[in-house]
This record gives sequence, structure tokens and C-alpha cells, in this order.
Amino acid sequence: MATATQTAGSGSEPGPGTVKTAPTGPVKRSVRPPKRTFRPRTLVITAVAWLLAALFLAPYLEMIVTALRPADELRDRTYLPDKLHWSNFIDVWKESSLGDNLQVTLLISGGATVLVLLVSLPAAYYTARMRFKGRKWFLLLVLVTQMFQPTALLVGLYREFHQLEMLNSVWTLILTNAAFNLAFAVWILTAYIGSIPAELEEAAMVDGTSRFGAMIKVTLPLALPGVVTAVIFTFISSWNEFVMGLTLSTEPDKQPLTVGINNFIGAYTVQWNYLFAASVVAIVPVIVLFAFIERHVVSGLTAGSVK
Amino acid sequence: MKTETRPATGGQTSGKQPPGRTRTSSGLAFALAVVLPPRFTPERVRTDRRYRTLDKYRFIVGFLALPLLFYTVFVISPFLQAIYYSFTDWAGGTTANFVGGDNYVKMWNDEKFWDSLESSLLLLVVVPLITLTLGIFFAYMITAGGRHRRGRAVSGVAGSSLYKIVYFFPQVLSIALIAVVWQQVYSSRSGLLNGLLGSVGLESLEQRWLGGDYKLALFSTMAVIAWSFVGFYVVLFSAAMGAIPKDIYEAALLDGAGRVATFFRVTLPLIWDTVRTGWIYMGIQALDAFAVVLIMVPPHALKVTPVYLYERFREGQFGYATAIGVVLLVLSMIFTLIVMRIGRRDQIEY
Repeated sequence: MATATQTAGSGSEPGPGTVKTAPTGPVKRSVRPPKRTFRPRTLVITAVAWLLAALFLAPYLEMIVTALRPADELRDRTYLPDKLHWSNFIDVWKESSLGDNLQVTLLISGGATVLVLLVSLPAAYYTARMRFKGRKWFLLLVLVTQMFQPTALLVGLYREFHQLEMLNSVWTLILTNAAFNLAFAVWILTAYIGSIPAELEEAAMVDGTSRFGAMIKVTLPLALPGVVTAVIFTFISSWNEFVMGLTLSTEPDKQPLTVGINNFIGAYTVQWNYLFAASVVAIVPVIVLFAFIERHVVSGLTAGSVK
Repeated sequence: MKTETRPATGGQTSGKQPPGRTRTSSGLAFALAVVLPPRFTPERVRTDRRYRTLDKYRFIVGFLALPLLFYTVFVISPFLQAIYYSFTDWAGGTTANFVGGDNYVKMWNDEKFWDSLESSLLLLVVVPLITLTLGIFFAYMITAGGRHRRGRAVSGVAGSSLYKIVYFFPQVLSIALIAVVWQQVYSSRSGLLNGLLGSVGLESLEQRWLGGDYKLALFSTMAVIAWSFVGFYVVLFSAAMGAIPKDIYEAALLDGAGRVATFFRVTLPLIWDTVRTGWIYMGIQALDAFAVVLIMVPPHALKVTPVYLYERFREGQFGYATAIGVVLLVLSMIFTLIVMRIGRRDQIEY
């Protein structure tokens, strides 16, 4: 089984120019390379791949174009509006509670991410390093909780927060989002930390560092790519969460952005241009974050899946 | 806290611990050591052998108690409460009378529930098949679909990392936003889809994708769910495929295996574990197609069980809604067990 560090190092995609493959070149000469001739099949494959990529991107284009469309052109069948209507972005801000919603979403995502990190890191460290009674049960619990659908737990959670009188509180959504993302974070971090040799810590402990110090100074920096993956995954999924926000908060200005956007549809005339302007606002941070960690996502997923 | 004090005869402790210490002061020092970081713990306590045990249990409590608390409060407890309230007539107030299996009997006789379940089960069966097949195909193209370069048995198509990003894109979007965008794409009057069909002269194929026919609405929903999840599986499977040692591909190539044979004889068996996990995950996601259907599809055209549950919840039939939730959970467990069983193969280590 490949370890996480190996896959993280080599990348999953054997693109040209990877340093690792260079030294093995001469050994593999025995495999006779086919002649480099022009092949129409390659062309077809590339064309199909591009077409599919376009298919995957089309809805985003639709979203951006509609966001910039003036209100009176909404029903037109032309694809590019006559002039780009940037003021949609300003109007949607002024005329709706989306500013509040954005703030709520930021609080929820930030809070849930911090909470998940604080809880999952020690747990993952312990599970990866120690062989304790109930370790298997703990990992099974983590796996099973990933299986539960939020919708099925919805009424139970509603009841719980109803009793605690915590409906419409930001804390409620921070806690539930943290709870739902905990399993994934523990899972990924356990795999990551498990792939770091324990000898490194033991060496530090022989030198007089405490176990905690060894964890902070030795293991944590080495597990940083895994930590980043867990952090961003939690952030993105809390940012995008919908079901809990819809159920556990009912006041429009206490709801997260996704629910706020959905409220647009509930109104009897859907102002698509405003709706999509708000959507663009909602996806930009996520896309920036994703571009930032795309590499980590791939290696993090490998660590989770291969182990 | 144990009060027994071991006589200080051990090689480590003898020098540091003065012999005349009373039990209480040692106990107090230990009680303090529970909360003190090691640096501030008195050395005589730190070198005591019992401190090791203390350190160990402190770790267990400190490290695992919080996640366990989280799971208990937010996952296990709502789950158990759901089971309990599914046997009551709780309607949101303070009273919840035990009514036995009434909710389940009601469900059994509820025509609309069965209709919604039919749609949900169709999603559960069909969506993973579409998504995983596409995901595996794209992943294979990305990792091994390119032409053979010098000295390498397998290589991806040109620009493979770009494709990965493009396919993964929907995965980072909120499912609520995805539903909103696709609602507009499917829109019969100003939608992108009908517009495209119209502009290439296929007006006859223009449809009311969501608001009309049940089958068409179901199909459109499946397409959206598959679209939003394919990318995740492309990345997951290409990561798993990337972990397969290259020598195996080389051996297959030397034996004269083509791309198709290599795929079915080498790649697929070696990533089978990942495929099975993905299958389960996708099935559960498809069964829970809540946001997509609630936002995108008009209620008269198509209803899935989670949406039906949500409507009962909104009406205040909390007892009935939880009963539906319990059935959903049981269904996803049965599905998981079935996939685990039929997907079982010999583990291949490489």
C-alpha cells in the first residue's frame, strides 16, 4: 500500500517533467515506445474531453452572464446581454438581507473550522499513534457517522436545539456543521499522521521534549498538508451547507447565504439577475480557496482513500 | 486518585524524592499534575512511575472525550431521539404521546410516501451507476488515456490536471446553488438547454425539463446529481489509479494488453476497494437528494422521500417525519450492507 507521503510527493498524475520519474528512465528502455505518429484517435479523444469540459463549465457561464443581465432582458434568448449590468451586484446588496446572510455564513464556516481543528487533531493524533482498547470502535463510529444523512437527523436535531432554546443562533449552526465535518477530518488526519514515522517523535522525547511538545513541534508541521486539507474541506462544506441552515434558523437575517439565496426563489417573481449576482458572491471565496489548495485536495483524498 | 505511595526505592526516584513525604502532599501534587503541563510539574512527580499512567489517561480523556461528546450530542442523540419520537404523536409542543407503531402504519398506507420512495430508490440505484462509470472512465483517461510516451507504460491525456480541476469544480459549490443554476439552465422559456437545442435547429427536442413529465423530471434530476458528483470521483479514482505501481502496467503492456484489457484486468481490480467505498457514499448522497429536488423541481412533478419528510416537518407532523427519517436511515444501512456484500472480493495487496 502506498503511504500518503509517497502519493503526495509524486502526485497522482504522471504528468511530463515529474522529477521522480527521470532517474528510472534508462531502466525502462526495454519497453519499446510506439512510433510518435499523428493519430486521429488522440485528436478525437481531446475534442471529446474539451466538449465535456465545456459541458461542465456551461452552467457557470450561464450564472455569470445572468448576473450581469439587465432586468428587462431576462426573458430574451440572446446569450450575451447588450451591456453588462454591474449594478446588479450593488442592488442585490442594498435590497436584500444578503449582507447579513454573508456575515452569518462567514461566522459559521470560520467557527466550525476552528472547532473541527481543535477537536479532530488531538483525536486523530491519538488514534493514529496509540493502540488502545476501543480504537476499532472509535474508527467505526467515525465511519458510521459519515453515513448518516442530515435530513434523517433533522427532526432530532431540531428537537434538541428547540429544548436548549438555541434555534436561530449562530452557535447552533457552528456546532452542527462542526459535528458533521468532524468524521471526515478525523479520518483524513488519522491517515496523514499515521504515515509520519513515530520514531521522529520518540527521538524528540528522548531529547527531553514532552509528548505534547513532540506532537506540536515534530508531528504537526509534518502533517500540515493534511491539516490544510481538513481545514479547507470543513470550511467549504460549512460554507455550502443548506439543510441545517434551512431548518434550524427561521429568521431571514440569521440564515446562512445558501438559504438566503433560496429565499429569492420563494418570492413570487424570481429576479434571476439578482439571484445569480448573489450566487456569484457566494462562490467566489470557495473558488479562491479551492484554487489555493487544489493540490492538497488530491493528495489528501489519497491519504484518506488508500489507507 | 490513588493514595498509595510507593516506597521510593526505584533508581530514578530515589535521589529526587525525599523519603519523609506524606501521602497527602504527594496526592495533591498528582492532582495538580493532571492539569499542569509537564514543564511545570514538579520533577519528583514527573519521575514517579505512576505519572506515566496518568499521562496516558490524561491523553485519552483530553483527546478523545471531545469528539465523542460531539458525536453523542449531535449524531447519536438526535438519532436515538428520532427513533423514540417516531413512536409518538409529537407535534412540536411540549406533549408527545406514545402511539406505538401508528406512524409506521400510516406510512404503510400513505400512497404519496410510496410514490416518493419509488423516486428515491430509483435515484439510489441509477445515480451511483452513472456517476461511478463516468468517474472511472474520466479518471482512467486522465491517468492512462494518453499516448505512450518514451520510457513510460502509462500516461495521461495532455492537460490532465486542468480537466481534474474543471470536473471537480461543482463539488466545491453548494448543492443549493447548483440547484438554482440548473433550474435556470433547464428553464423551458429562457433556459440554456432549450436555447442550445433551438440554435442548432432541434426545436422539436425542446422540453419542459422539470415541470412536466415525471420521468423527464427524474432524469433531469439524475443528470444534475451526477454532474455535481462526477468530479469528486474523478479525483478520488485518479488518485487511487496513480497509486498503482507502474511496473504492473509495464508488465501488462509487455504481455500485449491493450488499453481496454489493461483497464478491466489491471486497473479496475486494483482500485476496487475505492470504487466500493465511493459506491456506498454516492448511493447515500443520491438517497438524500434533498436540496436539489426541493429547490429545483416543482413539487407536483417529482418528490423524493427526504423532501416528503421535510414537508411533513414543516406541517408540524414531527412524529411522522421522524418515522420517515428512521426508514431512510434503515434503507441507507441496508444499501451499505448489500454493496459491502456483493462488492466483496479478495483483497489485493500491491
